[in-house]
Amino acid sequence: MSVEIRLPTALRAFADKQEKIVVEATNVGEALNALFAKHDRLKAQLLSPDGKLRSFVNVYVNEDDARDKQGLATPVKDGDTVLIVPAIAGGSTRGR
Amino acid sequence: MSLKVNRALEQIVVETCEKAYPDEGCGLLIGPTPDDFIAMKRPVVVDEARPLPNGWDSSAKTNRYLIDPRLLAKVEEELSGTGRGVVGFFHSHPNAPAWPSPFDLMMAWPCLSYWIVRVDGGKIADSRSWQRTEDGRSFVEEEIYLEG
Repeated sequence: MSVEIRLPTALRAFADKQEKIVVEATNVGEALNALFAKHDRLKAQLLSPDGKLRSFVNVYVNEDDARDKQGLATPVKDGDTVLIVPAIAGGSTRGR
Repeated sequence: MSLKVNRALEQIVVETCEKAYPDEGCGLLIGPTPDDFIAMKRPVVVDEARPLPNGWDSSAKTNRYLIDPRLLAKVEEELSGTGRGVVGFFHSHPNAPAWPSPFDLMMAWPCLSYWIVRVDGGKIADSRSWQRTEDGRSFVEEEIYLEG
């Protein structure tokens, strides 16, 4: 299955400035592994040292959050788009 | 290392943060995608500041902010192929220093600018911009260069 992975602006620096990368995969995990095979520096940004998707990384298959489906086992089909979106959060240590 | 913005954009950032007080305000910094995005010495040019709602749970908005990933995805899609992109984010620290907190560091992405505005009593008290190092261990301050 040929799927298109779309990277956010910041992560393109780790993928030869590419915004869209086409890989062959049957599920989200395979798609990400295929992505890392092409651009290994992305791995450290997206996966924790134990190989799990970092909690502040969101992955969507088309419009659907992969976490609401089967996570990395979420199936993908020909023509699907896998969107990687960083969770952007933060805040001060002290409250009011 | 510097963040180049014009005064009108700075005003949008400051007003957003002051209006959000005592909660944290936040938004996107958009500009031309640099050729050498990964090099921390590059100047970051911002040509648009886009305020977004603080999506954090209402119980902790005074010291937390969250940008809805679906909104961010929409903006990335809008900017796709234009040569512009999300080059950073701004947020406020109500009654707290404009230095990144440990939580800011934990959540930060490399190659992006994080502009933090200190707001005391509803008025700006300090404003600083930072970039996370690629190894994720620290932030480095970058000069905010005001043009126009």
